[in-house]
Amino acid sequence: MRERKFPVVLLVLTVGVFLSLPLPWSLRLKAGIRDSFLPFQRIPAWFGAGVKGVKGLFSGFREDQAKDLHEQEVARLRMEVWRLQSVQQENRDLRQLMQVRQAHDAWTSVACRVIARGDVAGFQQAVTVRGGRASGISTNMPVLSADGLVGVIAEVSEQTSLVLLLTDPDCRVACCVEGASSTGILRGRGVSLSGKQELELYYMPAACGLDYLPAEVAVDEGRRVLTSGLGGVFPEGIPVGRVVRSWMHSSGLYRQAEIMPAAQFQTLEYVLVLTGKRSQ
Amino acid sequence: MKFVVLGLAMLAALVIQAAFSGPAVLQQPKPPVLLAVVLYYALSCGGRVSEAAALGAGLLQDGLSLMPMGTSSLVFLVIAWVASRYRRQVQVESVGASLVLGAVVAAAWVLMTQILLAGQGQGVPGILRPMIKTLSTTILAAGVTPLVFFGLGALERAVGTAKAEGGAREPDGL
Repeated sequence: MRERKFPVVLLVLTVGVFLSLPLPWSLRLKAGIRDSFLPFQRIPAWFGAGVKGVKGLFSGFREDQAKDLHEQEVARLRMEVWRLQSVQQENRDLRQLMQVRQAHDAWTSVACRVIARGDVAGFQQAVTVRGGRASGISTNMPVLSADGLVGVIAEVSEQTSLVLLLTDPDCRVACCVEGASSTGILRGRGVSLSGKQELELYYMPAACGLDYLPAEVAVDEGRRVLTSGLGGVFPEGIPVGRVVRSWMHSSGLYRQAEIMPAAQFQTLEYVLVLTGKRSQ
Repeated sequence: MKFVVLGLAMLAALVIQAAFSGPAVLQQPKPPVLLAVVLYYALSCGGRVSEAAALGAGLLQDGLSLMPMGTSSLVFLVIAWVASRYRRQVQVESVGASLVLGAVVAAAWVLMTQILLAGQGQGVPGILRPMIKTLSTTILAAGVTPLVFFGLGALERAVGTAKAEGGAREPDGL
């Protein structure tokens, strides 16, 4: 029994050490693990491409058995069209990203490809992108897509970065409601029971102009929500979403709003990481 | 050789777990493949091997996620120790046993992790969504665990590290 106790105590101490590691050491260790795992993250993509290729080949063989050479050529061309459509979509995504880059010309940026969706453990809203310290990326850098704000860089390794998505409850962004002079804090609410990505905004209504309006009036529905630039992390004016509905908080001190995010988190392929302001 | 097989199994489990995600309406559960690997080794070997599996799987999972380092290791170790205590009462080859155990253990894993994350100020607020996530992960685990047990059992038989048919279970730690 004594022989068994020592390894158990050692194991508990080891776990305790990991749990209480100083943050920089913990991040360095995680970065090393992520970079070591990078080659294996390509396997699902290869597997998917292989399955599609085998299916195309099989359908080609079936058609070859049943019909003549002319039909086989049609099947080959069909596969080529599918491949070119995929390339065309990728081209479109990258062109849209270039427009976003030009819109934020005052900032230097790095385009990164999303290589893994979702946190491996499944408890946080995150994606992994191909691009890390070697590309000039560091933590707390804003991440955009062609549609709007996506999130912020949470962890960085040499080759990859983990992006905390806007919809994660741990993500906070200083925002304002366009045209309403209302500023506040936006927070993720995860995934709703209907499967939609949810955001919520806590904000103060404008100091004047709304004083004599009843609290029940939803004056902000449909308005765009943009980053306010306060806090120094996110530049001003990046689209975040639209107000779906708003209501006065029970305390009467501020308004709350449900926001539909602008970015399409489920179909992210490429993102832009704003790495810093250009010197004037 | 057993540790080599364990290492390869954890790597494959990590690739599968990283690649797949459940539907958004069910709170995007992940198939708990790593947990199934830990459970397999806890039930079939116990001792050093199961502890190594729990610690290694936990570190890998935390390293590739946003969770604080050591969180998954702690939960996996607790699960491995509890499962090891009952390994002589459980037939690893039984589909029913692996299905039920996988579901129960996955529910415990999700609940324990959510409690740990809530204690650190992270995670989804409220009760309903965490409960839905627990339920959906449990259902996924019921499907995934028998497959993992079957795969690992076949692999171990192929490389010769499995226990002999009809023989006594391996002593703890081997």
